Amino acid sequence: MSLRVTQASLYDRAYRDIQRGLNNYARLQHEVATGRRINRPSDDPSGALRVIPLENELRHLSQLGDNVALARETLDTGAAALEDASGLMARARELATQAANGTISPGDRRSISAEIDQMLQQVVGIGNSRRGDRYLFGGTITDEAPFAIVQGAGRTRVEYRGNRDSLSIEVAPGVDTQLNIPGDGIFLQRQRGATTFTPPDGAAATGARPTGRGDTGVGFQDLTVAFAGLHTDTPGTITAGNGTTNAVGPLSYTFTTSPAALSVGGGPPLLLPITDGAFTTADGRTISLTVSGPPAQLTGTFTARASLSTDGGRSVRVISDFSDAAVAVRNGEDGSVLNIDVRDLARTGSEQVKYVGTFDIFTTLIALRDLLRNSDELPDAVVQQRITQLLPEVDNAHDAVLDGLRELGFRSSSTSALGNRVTSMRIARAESLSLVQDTDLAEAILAMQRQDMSYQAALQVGARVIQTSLQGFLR
Amino acid sequence: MSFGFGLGAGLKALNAARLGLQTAGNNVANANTPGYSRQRVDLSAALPFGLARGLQMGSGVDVNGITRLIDDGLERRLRLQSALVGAAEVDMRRFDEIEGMLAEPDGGLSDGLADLFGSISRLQSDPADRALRGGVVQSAGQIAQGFQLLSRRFGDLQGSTFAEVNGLVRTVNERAQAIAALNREIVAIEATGARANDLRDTRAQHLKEIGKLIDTNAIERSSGSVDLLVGGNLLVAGDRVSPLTTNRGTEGTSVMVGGTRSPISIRNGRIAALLRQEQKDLPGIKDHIDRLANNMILEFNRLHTTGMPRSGPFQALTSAYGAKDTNGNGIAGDEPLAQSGLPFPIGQGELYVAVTNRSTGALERTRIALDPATASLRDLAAQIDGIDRLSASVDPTGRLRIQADEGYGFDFSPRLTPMPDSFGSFGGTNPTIGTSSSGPFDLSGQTFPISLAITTGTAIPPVVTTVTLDANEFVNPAAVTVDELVTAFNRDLGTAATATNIGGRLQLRANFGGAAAQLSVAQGGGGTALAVLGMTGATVTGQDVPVRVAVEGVFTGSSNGRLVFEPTGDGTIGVTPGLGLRVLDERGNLVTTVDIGSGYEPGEQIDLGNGVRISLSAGSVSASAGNAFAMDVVADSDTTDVLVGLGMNSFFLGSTAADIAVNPDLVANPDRMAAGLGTASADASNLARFMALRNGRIAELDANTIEDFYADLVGEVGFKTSGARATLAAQDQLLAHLEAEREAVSGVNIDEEMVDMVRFQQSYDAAARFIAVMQQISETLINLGR
Repeated sequence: MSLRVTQASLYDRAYRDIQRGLNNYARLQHEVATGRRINRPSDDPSGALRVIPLENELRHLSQLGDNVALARETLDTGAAALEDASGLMARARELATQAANGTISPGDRRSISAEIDQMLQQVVGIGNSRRGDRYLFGGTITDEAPFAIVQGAGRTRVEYRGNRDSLSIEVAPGVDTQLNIPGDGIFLQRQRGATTFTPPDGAAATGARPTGRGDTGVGFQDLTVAFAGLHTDTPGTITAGNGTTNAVGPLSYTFTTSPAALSVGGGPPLLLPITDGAFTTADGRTISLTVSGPPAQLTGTFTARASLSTDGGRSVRVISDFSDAAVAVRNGEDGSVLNIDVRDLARTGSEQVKYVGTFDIFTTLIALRDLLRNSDELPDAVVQQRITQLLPEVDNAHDAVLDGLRELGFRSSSTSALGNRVTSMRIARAESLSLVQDTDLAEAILAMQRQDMSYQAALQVGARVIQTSLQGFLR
Repeated sequence: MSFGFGLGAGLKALNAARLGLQTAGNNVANANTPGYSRQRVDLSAALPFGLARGLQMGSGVDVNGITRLIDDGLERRLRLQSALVGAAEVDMRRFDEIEGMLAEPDGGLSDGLADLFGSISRLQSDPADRALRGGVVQSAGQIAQGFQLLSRRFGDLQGSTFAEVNGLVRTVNERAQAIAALNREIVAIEATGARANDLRDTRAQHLKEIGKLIDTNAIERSSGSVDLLVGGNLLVAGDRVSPLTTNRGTEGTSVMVGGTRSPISIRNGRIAALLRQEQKDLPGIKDHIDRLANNMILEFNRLHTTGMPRSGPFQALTSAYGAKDTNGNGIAGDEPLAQSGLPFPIGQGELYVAVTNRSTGALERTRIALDPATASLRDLAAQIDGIDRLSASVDPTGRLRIQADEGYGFDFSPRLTPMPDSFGSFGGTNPTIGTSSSGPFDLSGQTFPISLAITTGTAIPPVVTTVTLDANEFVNPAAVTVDELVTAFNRDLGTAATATNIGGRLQLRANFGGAAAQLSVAQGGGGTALAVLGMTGATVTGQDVPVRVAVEGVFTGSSNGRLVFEPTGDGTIGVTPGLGLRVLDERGNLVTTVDIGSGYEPGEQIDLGNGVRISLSAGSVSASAGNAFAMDVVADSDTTDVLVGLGMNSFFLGSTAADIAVNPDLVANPDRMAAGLGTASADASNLARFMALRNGRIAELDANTIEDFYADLVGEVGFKTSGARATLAAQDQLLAHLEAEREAVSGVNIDEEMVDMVRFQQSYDAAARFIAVMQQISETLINLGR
């Protein structure tokens, strides 16, 4: 026998059916209205577990998108600054070529020098470019101008005051890019070569030789070699005179007794006693000596000390040992060190020291400006010759700027490529999120219609069933 | 046969039909009464009369009684099912509420966490920006608020359990009283042999309602009364009730029967579900949130306490928390740190304190070894107080206060020492002589006292100072430590020279500088102590311009240590071919050797690996004079968590979800947020550590990331909610099924009752007709006699 059916159970069933229909109705309505299948974790717990990380990742990716934009903006600002610098260098090259041309007047040269000084200021200004109020080229020191012009005795130099620390931000998952550009790598790019010494035109070489090792100077410096008195190995009867001396280093001497005479370095003998006697050596060097008489040893060697300086005598290194293959001479202005082989050092005088490969943009402009200004009053021909020598350095410095520009450009374009990747990842993640979380509208609406139909049917049938009773048919 | 008999049968039939009609009417009237069971008149043929010759003659119909149609087994199953549905309803409602509190996937903590890391990432792009710093502080504040709100809401939910259980218990007691009263009436009625059908239905309904709230066991006695057992205790016994009582103890709400003290165990029903929620589910979720908050505070503070604020090293700093006076002697901070009641446990390890000279930027770092089982906060303060330029004290509330002298600052950052050779024992201006290796040294073969002549100065003749090493200055002459030697040397050196410990080596520095300054050590009386110590006997000269050692970068190694640097020979940096710089670790193992000879341009940076970059200026260094310098490399400058425990420059305050808050100092001044490790304005290295935290798996969070751990909770609540919903649906379905079954047995079908009514009406009509016929017959008979 089947179950008895009572009115109460009919009502109950109808009531439950309608409730269930309404519930489904409400759920579908919410899904369609919010466009989301998962509005609370319990709607689909495993789906919700995917939604939260996906949403986090999406937010992260959109942050990365911002970072990419920021990185590109910074790199492009840097590149724009370097482009300006490159333009200035092209102009500097033009001016240098013009100045190397012998036909221009000293007045023209002075005005070119003024223009180059202007350019130097501009390039330093470019090195101190800012984005917002942060210096772009100072490493992680962004609140202090990274480049400063320092005026030393006779020479100008540009100091880097930033650091080499990088400020990195993430531009793609797990990929960091350097947001800042430590300026010394771009503006002070150098490939140090061998240091060269050049005596001034017409002057004899001092005999000092560069070691090419451990030098830290930049651009041009002047090495001056001066006579610094006699070493203690000199016989007691010989003292330094007040006349001109250009000989330094070990000197051989020979006394002859009758008549009493002294010959230095194989040169002609002078009669003794003598005050401020101008002795000459066989190789044409002169030394002023006051000699009272013959010493105990009739032949021997004594040493004329040399003082070496690269800062015009501000700080000097006095040499009495001329067998040293590397004498460090420190520049008191910028603290740079020049290592000199003094074994052949024989004469006083000066050498122009050129630190090959250190001509960065600042150094080149300073060198060019100083040559054109010609405060040393060099003859025109010398100035022209030196400017001509400097032309390749202008090109090198320009190349360094272009290298920097290329690097920034490369970084910008690779950042941009990463940015594209981030964008496509974002789209892919958004799609997966949508797949997990979003309502399939077509399906939901279809389901809603189906729900609608069955709900209506339930209502109709319910209405019919609960109205039906035997009562209606009796009588 | 008699007429009376015929009339009697008719009367019985009339009666039966009338009762049938009345029962049908009663059924129809109670068709919608909950718990009502339809009733039926039990009829049977009356005892027949025995006629002659074995004939039996029926005497009409007997009404045996009116019975309920009921299935007792089904009723019991229904009661149990109601309890299950009751529990499922509570679970469903509660989890739904918890899910709503978490407010995921939109607007919950996961948004807050993502915002916090997002704002840190934004700050990375410009660490000096005040607005971006403010953004980080603000999102941290929102997270803290989110945690607090969740914690408070969970607390409210937890607290409402008692009130809710109390209300339900009152209902149970009321129904139990009603059952007891019904028991009394039913027993009285049924003692007469009648059936108390309607009272029984009412009682069954009460039982069912109680069953929704609490799981019961009903036992019917032969008298017709029902005893009700709850968790093995009698709630109703006959007409007596032992009402349930509730109690709120430390372990939550408990329910007891009568005056008993021990709580009863309840397995089903709403009350059981509420108690289960209170004891298991809610604390579980609350604990999850608290663990998350606790570990977030710990991890963020670990990084922040060892970071560097925008303004650079601290002038003064006071801890947010104080050591509690747990031993009750009236002095806070004199008990071991482990028993100081700090919000985070302090481990055994080391703390590095760096003191920076604000004008030169020179940094001196001190390593403090800490054992929380023995060292008290006052001990720690004394150790910090012992550091040059720092003073530290514990105030009466147990807080640690550290202050630096004017012109100095301190910090706990693991940054690299920018100028590690502060003593000048690596090509410094003053001549130095050092031991060629680190101690301890075996001086047991020497004859004490050892007399050393230290010659210093520029004048001719120079000054000779005698250092005497006595045997009693060393604990063990066979293992003389460098620190003992330093003390012994400095006792005798006076103003001539200074001895110190550089990376485990003894370094002796003349107090005169420059190229003309000299230093030599000679042993009087012909011993070999100098050889044992590895100190040169030759005269060492100083130089006019020292070798400057500069270090940049952020150490990326994994463990704390100390690097010792020494030249491989005597020579000039950048000039001497083959001159190298040897890097040794703390135990003297070679880490690397780099070229600083003819291939090196002085001032150039050399990458030593692990993020350390070093540069040396031009000058001479000497291996034979024992030139060396040391540098601490610190991966974690506070392995003890003492800074976190004390709240020195914290990011978050508090230790649970209930009390987490952003350090108000940061809110007041976002520049105090430690974005970097060093002092450069755009130093974002601490932010990088914060970002690494995002993907870092934290052991205490079951090796999950912060966000994953939270997502786990959301998932768990989601699963539980949908599970509760499914359980409720299934149980409800089952209940509906059982109710349908009960309806099938005991429910009233009005159509049936109509049919019955028609049937009984007809039978009444027929019986009346029968009586009329019998009357006619008797009249006919009477007329016959006339």
